[in-house]
Amino acid sequence: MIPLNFLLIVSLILFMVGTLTVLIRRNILMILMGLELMLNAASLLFITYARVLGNLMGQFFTLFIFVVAAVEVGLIIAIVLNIFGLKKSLLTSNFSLMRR
Amino acid sequence: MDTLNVSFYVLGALAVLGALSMLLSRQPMRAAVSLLFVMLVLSGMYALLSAPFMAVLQLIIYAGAIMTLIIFIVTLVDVKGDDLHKVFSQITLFAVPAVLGLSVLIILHIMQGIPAAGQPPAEFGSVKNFTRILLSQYALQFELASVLLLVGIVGISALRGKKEESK
Amino acid sequence: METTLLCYILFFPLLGFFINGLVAFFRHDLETACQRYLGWSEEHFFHRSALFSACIGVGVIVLSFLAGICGFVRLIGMAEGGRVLTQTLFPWIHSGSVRLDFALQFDALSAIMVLVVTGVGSLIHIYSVGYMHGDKGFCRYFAYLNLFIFAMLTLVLGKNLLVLFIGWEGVGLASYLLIGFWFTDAEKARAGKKAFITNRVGDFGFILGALLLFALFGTLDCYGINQAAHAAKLPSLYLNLAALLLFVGACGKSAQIPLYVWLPDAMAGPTPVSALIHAATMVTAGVYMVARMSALYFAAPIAMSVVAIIGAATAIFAATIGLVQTDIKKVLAYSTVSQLGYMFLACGVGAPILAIFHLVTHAFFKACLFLGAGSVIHGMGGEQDITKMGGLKHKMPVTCWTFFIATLAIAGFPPLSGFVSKDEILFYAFASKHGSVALWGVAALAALCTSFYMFRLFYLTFLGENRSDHHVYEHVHESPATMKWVLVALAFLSVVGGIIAVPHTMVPFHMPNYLEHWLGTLMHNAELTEAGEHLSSIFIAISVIVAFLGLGIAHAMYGRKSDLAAKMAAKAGCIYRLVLNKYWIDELYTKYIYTPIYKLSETILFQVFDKKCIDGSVNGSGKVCQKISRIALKMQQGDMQFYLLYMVVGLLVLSAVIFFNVVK
Repeated sequence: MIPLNFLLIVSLILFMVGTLTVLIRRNILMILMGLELMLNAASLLFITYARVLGNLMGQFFTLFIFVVAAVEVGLIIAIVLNIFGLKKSLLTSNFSLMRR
Repeated sequence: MDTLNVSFYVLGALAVLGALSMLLSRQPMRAAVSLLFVMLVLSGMYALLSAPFMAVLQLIIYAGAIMTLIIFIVTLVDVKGDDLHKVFSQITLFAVPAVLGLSVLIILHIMQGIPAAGQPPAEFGSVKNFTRILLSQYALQFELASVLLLVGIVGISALRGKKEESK
Repeated sequence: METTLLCYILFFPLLGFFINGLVAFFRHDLETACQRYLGWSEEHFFHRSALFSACIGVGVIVLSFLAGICGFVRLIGMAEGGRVLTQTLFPWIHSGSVRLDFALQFDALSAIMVLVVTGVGSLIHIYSVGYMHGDKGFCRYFAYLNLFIFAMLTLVLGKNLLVLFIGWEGVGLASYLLIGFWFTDAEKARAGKKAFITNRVGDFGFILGALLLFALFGTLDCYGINQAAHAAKLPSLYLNLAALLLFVGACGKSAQIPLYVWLPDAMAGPTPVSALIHAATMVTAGVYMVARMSALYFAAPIAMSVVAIIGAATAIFAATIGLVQTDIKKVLAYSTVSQLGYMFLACGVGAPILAIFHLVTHAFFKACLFLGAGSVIHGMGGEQDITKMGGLKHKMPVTCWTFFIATLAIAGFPPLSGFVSKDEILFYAFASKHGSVALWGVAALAALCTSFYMFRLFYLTFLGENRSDHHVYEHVHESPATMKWVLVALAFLSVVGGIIAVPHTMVPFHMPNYLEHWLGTLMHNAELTEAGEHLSSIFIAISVIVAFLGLGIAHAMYGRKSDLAAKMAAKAGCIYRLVLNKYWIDELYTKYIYTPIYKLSETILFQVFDKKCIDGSVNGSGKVCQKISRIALKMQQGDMQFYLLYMVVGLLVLSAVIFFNVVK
C-alpha cells in the first residue's frame, strides 16, 4: 500500500521549504529555485492523488505544470538578465522599486 | 512494511533533505545542485506512484531542461558585488513562524481523515493509456498549452531580443 | 375642468425665453457664422438679430395673451359656481399622505391677473422695441422679459402655494436680472442685489407661512387652505401667525414697510422694466396672494388689522417722500409704493375685490405714467431730473397728453378709473366693519399727497419754461410710433378701466358691478357698518375735493412763476430735509441692520465659524487620513517579499478560520 499521509506530508514540507526560500532568501535566483520547488511539491501531490483516486487527471495537471514551469523559467531568466544588466546585482533589496 | 513503503520513506526523506539543503546553502550553485537532486528523487517517486511517463518527463524537462537553464544562468551571472554571507533577509523572523503555523494547520487538516488508497486499474499511467486520453479527451487543452509556450517565446524575445533597436 | 389650454398660456413665454436666451447667449458665435457664411456686416447682424428677438419676444406674449382670452371666454361659458380650469402638468411630491402636484389653475381671479399680466405685458413689450432700440443687450433684454412673464404667469396660475412660490422666486430672479440689466454700472448692479436680498427676507416669511399652513391643514392647495381656514376650529393664534408670515412675504414682494426700500432703487433698470415689473405686475404679486388667501385673512383678524395698518402707513409714508423727490422715476416709484399701500389697506379692511380692482386700474395708469416717463427720458437723452425739464408739452404732445390723463386717473378725478377704485377703498376704510376713521383719515391724506405730487411732477416736466440745457432741448423729440401708440392705448384703458367695477352708490342709474359679480364665488367684501352705508355720497364728494385740492396746491406752487415752493422748503427746513432724505430709512437700515450683520458675518461667521470650524474640520479630516496612511505606508515599502509574507499570513488566517469551523 501507498503511505498516503507520508506522501502528503513530504509534499507539504517541500512546498513550505519552497515558500520559505521565496520569502527569506535575498538572491533572485534562489527565489526562482524556491518557486520551482513549490511547483514540484504540487506535482507530487497531483500524482499521488492520481494514483490514489485512480484518475489520470492528476497526471495531466502535472504535465501542464511542466509546461507552465518551462515558460516561467524562460521568462524569469530573461527578467533576471535584464535587471542584472540594470543594477549589477541580484539582491532583492536592490529592487524594491515599488516604493512610493 | 513492504519494499514499496520503505522506498517511499527513503525517497521522501531524501527529498526533504535535498530541499532543506537548497534552502540553507549559501551559494546559489550548491542550491541549484540540491534542487536538481530533489527533482531526481521526485522522478523516482513518480515512477513508484504508477506514473512512469511523468517520471520520464520529470527527468527530461525538469532535470534536463529547466535545471540546466537555472544552473546555466547561475554560472552566467556574475554576482561580485553582492554580500554572499548574508543570505537571509530580515523577514526571516516573521516568515518562519508564519510558514510553520500554516504547516501545522494543514497537517491538522490531513489528520482529519483522508480517503484510503485503492488499487489502480490495470495499465494505469502507461504511456499508451496516458497519451490516448490526453490526445482525445484533452486535445484542446494540449493545444492551448502550445499557445502558452508560444506566448512565453514571444515574451522572452520581447524582453531580450530588441535591446539594441529600442535605444 | 381639466384642460390643456393653460400650458399654452404658460409656455409661450418660456419658449420665447429659450429662443431669445439662446440668441443672446450665442451672439458672438452667431455673428461670426453670419459674417462668414451669409456675408452680413456687423451692423446688419445687429439689426436682424434685434428684429428677430423683438418678433419672438413680442409674439410669444401676444400668443399667451390670446390663449388667456380663450381661457377667459371658456370661463364665461361655464356655470357660475364652477368657473375654474385646471391642468396638472406632472405629479411632483408624493410621499405618504403628502400629495403635491405641479398643477395650474385658471379661475376668475387668475383670469384677471393673466389678462393684466399678458395684456399690459404685451403693450410694454411693444413699447420696449422702440425704447431699447440700439441697445447692445437687446436679445438678452427680451429673454429676461419673457422669463419674467413666464414666472409671473406661474405665480398667478399656481394651484398650490408651492407652485406659486416658484413663480414668486422666478419673478424675483427676473427682477434682479432686469434691474441690473446695465450691470457694468456698479450702482445699478448694487440696486439689483438690494432688490434681490430684500426680497429674500420676505420670501423667508412666505415659505415659513406656507410650511405653517401645511402643518395646520395638511395641504398647500389655495382653495383647500381657504376652506379649511373658513371652517377652522383651530386656535386662531396659529392662523394669525401663518397669515402674518405670508404677509411678510407680500411685504417684501410688494414693497411695503418695512421692506419697501428696494423698490425706489429698482428704478435703475430700463424704464419699461420699471413699468412692467415694478409698477404693473410683479409688485402686485403680494396683493394677489393676500387676495387669493382672503378667507384665511378673514379668519385671522389680528393679521387683517396688521395688513390694514401697514398698508395705510405705507400709503402715507411713501406719498410724503414722493412730495419732494426730483427724479422722475423715483417720484413714480414712491407713488407705486403708496398705491400698493392702498391695495393692502383694502385687503386689510376686508375688501379684497377692491384690492384687485385697484390693482387692475393701477396697472393701467401706472404703466402709462412710467412709459410716459420713459418716453420723456428717451426724448431728453437720458435725463431724469425733473428740475432740469419743463416745457416739454410742445415737443412731445402725445406723451404729454397721455401722461396728463394718467395723472388725472391716479389723482382720482372722476370719472377716471383711479377715482373709482381709490374712492371705493377710502369708503371701505371708513365704512367696513374692519375699518376705522383713523385708517380713512390717513388714506385720505395720502390721496391728497398723491394728487399734489403727481401734478407737481406734471407741471415740472411738461409745463412752464424749459430749464434744461439749451442743447438738450433742441434735440427733444417725440418717441417712435411703437412707444406712442402704446401710451395712447394705456391712457385709454386708464380712462375706461373703472367701468369694470362701478359701485352701486356712485351712479344714480343702475350699472352692474362686473368685477364683484365675477369674483363673487371666490371672495367677498366685508359687510358695511350701518353708519357707513348712508354716508357714501359724502365720501365721494370728499374724494373729489381732495383731488382738486391737490391740483390747486400744485398749481399754486408750480403752475405760476413763484418761489412758493422754495420758500416753503426753507421755512420747514428740518422737515423738508427729513422727507427729502426719505426719513433716513436707508441710513438707518445700513447702520442698525446691515452693518451689524456684516460685522457678525465678517468676524464670527467668517473668521471663526467658516475658517476654524468648516475649514478646520475639512482640513483636519484630511490630516487624520494622512497620519493614518503614514502608518499604513510602513507596510508598503516596496519589498516584494514582504508582500508575499502578507499573502502567507492571510492564507494562515483563512485556513485557521476554515479549520476551526470544521472542528465545530
